[in-house]
Amino acid sequence: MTVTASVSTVSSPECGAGRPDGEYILIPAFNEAGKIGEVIAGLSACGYTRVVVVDDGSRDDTAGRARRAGAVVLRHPINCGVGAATATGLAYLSNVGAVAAATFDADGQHDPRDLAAVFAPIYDDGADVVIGSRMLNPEGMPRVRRIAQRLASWSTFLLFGQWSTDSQSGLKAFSRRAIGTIQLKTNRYEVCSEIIAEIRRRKLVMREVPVRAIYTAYSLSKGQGFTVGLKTLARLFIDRILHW
Amino acid sequence: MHPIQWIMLVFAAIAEIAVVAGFRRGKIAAKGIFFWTVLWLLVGLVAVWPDSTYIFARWAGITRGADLVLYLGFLAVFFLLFRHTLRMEKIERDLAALVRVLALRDAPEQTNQPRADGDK
Repeated sequence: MTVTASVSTVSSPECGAGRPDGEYILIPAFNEAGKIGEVIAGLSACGYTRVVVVDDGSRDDTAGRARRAGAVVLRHPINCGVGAATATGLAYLSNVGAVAAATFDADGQHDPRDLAAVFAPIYDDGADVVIGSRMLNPEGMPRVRRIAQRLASWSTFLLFGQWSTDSQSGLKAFSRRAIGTIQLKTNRYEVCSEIIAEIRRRKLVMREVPVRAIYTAYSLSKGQGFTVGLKTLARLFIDRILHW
Repeated sequence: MHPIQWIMLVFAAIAEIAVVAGFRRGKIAAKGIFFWTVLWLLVGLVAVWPDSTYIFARWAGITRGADLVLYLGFLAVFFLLFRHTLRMEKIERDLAALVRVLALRDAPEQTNQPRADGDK
């Protein structure tokens, strides 16, 4: 197998300033006005000051709050889905010449202190894509979510031939090469599996590091529920059949 | 002919007229008019000559001609649904590509150093 995919055990250091120039955080957001400001402030406090928010046609003031919090905001005039928003963000980052970028959920599920560990293999180990895996540190993860993640990872592996312990993680880092190479076509949650497929297709180097997910009533209400998960799976199967 | 046969025949005729009208207005492609015309001709044939289905039913290993028509009908509906899903998917992707162009066009001045702490 030409793809290098291994599991690193980088521990999560505390926050620190002085992040490299050209390092960005990309946040796809839809109707997150209540949380986005807090998420950006948390990132800023950790030294991550270059934040790009793609507002995916929100009906609330997500864009305004993100802008006031200091982020660069790109706006989708209509809601297209998290996959489309991620693709827009990566296209923007490629245009501005980002050296590295990490996707980060807008619902407060991720801890900014995990970012340093997620970025580290990009700079130190020649990785192109780093998956922040909740399954390598599943403490506090609801059992149903754990089972769902395993199913999703196995489905992704069977469909695309690339294993990841947490294929649906929203916390991923990308090298400049990955930002410029990965081509995303799917619009919704199937984008997570599509990124895993792209890693294999483009012969990118993948690493995984453990991250801790913060589960609150709010973050659990967002993201992929059971029904959305099934729809995502169905879309993945159709997509695989069409592009076999 | 029984009333149901007349109903099927008239329905097929109206549907075919609609197909031809759609083709003339440019809403149906050449291969589309071929597919629909063959389909409605078959429906008309079954309406006028119901026993014709027995020939195909026996060949397919199904006892009753009506059952064969039913099975084929289900297959046709599934095929059309699948085709419709694919088209919707393509339209959604094209729409997202267009939205992306608009978002990037209206993006703030591209800089390698946007600051999350505003104007500091």
